[in-house]
Amino acid sequence: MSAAARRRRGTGSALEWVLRLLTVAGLAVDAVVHLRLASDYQFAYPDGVGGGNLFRAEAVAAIVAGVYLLVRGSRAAYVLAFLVALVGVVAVVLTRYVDLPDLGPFPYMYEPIWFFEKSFSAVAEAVATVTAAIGIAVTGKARATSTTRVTR
Amino acid sequence: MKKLTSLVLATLALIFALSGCGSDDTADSGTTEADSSPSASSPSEAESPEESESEEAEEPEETESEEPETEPAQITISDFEFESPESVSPGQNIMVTNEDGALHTVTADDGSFDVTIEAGATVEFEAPDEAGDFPFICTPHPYMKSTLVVS
Repeated sequence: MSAAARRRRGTGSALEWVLRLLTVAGLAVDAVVHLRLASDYQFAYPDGVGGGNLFRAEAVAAIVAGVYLLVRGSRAAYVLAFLVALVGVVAVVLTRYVDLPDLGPFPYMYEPIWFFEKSFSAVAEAVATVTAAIGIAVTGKARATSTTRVTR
Repeated sequence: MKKLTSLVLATLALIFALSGCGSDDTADSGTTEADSSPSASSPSEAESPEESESEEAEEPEETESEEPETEPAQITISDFEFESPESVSPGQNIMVTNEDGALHTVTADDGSFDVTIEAGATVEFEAPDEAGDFPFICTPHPYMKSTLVVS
């Protein structure tokens, strides 16, 4: 890929690399923590598809999104990373503060407590959400700039 | 005359003897069930109230003396925290009540006890027979920790 092509896609700049690595790191923490806790949560919340399987799904999504973002650095990759991280943040905050009943395949997972791994994962997901959102903006701005240059 | 006298005496003795046996026989044979059964039952009836009274009188003493040992101790799980008794006796029953919506366990670090309590359920288990401190956790929520003191 040429330097011009990378610029058109908004990739390759120092800022973009920082955003990309931060987002990937956040998704990596998200994946590792969810995989580590999956068996315990499957045991504690076996209804529906099971809490552990939801954790594994979140981990797999985080790995796919992280690898895709690391390799491509495209706007689509940032969008995917943003969605995965956002789902993680929303889920952990909801299950911490809202006593929701089980819903379809989703088991009852109200857990009104913070502990280290949960907090660490939530912070990592939140960071990944923010950096991915900035990444979307940066790559979108770069693409718009390159489009304007081509038009002129 | 002597013969007549001895015959009369012998006859009287026989009648006396037979009458004495007869009263026993009738009672045993049950020919007069109405008579015998009350006589048979009356002692038991007479005894049973005494026995029952004595049992009733003894029972409260026994239960009073045993209750402190058999009355289960209580561990309550609420908002992902254990509320454990200060101490329990060796072998004492312990009731674990899970007030959370999630499943929990009470699992000793050394494996002395391990019970699973479904959401909203109560489970009973026996404390270790040996005195000591037994740290325990909830397996799926290992940050939930407490200690069972057996003394």
